[in-house]
Amino acid sequence: MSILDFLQALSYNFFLQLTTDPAFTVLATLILATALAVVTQNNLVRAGFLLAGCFAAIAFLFFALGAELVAASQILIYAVGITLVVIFAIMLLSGSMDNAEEIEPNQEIDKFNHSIAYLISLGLFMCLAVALMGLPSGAPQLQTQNLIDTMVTYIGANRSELFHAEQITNIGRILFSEQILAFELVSVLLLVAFVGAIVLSKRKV
Amino acid sequence: MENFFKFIDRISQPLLLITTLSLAWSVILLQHSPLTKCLTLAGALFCIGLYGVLSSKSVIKTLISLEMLFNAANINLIAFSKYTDLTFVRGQVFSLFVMAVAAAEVALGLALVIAIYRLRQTSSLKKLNQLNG
Repeated sequence: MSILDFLQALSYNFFLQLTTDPAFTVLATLILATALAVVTQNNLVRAGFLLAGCFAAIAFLFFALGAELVAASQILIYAVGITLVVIFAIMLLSGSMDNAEEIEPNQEIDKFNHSIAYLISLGLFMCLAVALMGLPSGAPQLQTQNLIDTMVTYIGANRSELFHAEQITNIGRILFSEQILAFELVSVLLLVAFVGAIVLSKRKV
Repeated sequence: MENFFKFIDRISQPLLLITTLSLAWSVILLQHSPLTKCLTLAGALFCIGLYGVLSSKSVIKTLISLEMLFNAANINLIAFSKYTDLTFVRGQVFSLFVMAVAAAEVALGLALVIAIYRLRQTSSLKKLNQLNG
């Protein structure tokens, strides 16, 4: 098969996917493209703003997967909070950042390192792809499937709608009953982390 | 000949980007179920972040790439909670925890970067080699 045939089959399947599942297709392309741009960008400020785009695309993917609360917190925490902190740090440290990449004396070693890193991540991706090909197609079936089906026929509601309405209630219930220890530990962790960050980055007086 | 090498040097990076993107998409399109499509997308994002961690020279870019690794894990959690979890929420609860830990990690990491910059006037990973054995 020549490369042109491969590209033709690829674009045909891409448009098929685009018509059957447009949200996933567009968002996956956006995520992959912005992530690649962030990784290969030398200008750190530009990389920070592209990172916000990547996180926003991931948030919309969460919306498309039906997880509204996680999507909202993804926008609040990642796309705005973390990215803003990163951009502030870049601007605080700018000056050394821009020419740190340029003055590097040995470009050859850098190119060697980059190709080694590319090969490692490509190999990992190939391993993941082969492992995912071995999975049976379709979601794994759970034991309680029949129970749910009888419930659905009894109530007469759509299965996804049935659970979708209760979703955020269930998140709160799980968060405050069976995950309560982890929840409290996360609050302690956040307190320690922010006190530590303030102490570390405070100017000496 | 020299022009040819310059041309190759200039075109190589975008060509490599497009090749990587189409490679990831071809692996996604080989999958049949939406769950494995999401898993492949997360795997591609993880590998891009891994490349960023391995190849970056400044500490901040390493932190940015680490955030991408966290996000790949989050996509996996959400996809599993959508397609396999019947009560539909456990993966979402775990991804909320991942977000909280990632926020703590990035705050501490950037504070450390700023402290190191004050001490050494650099944020390049190559120059922080005082602990070499």
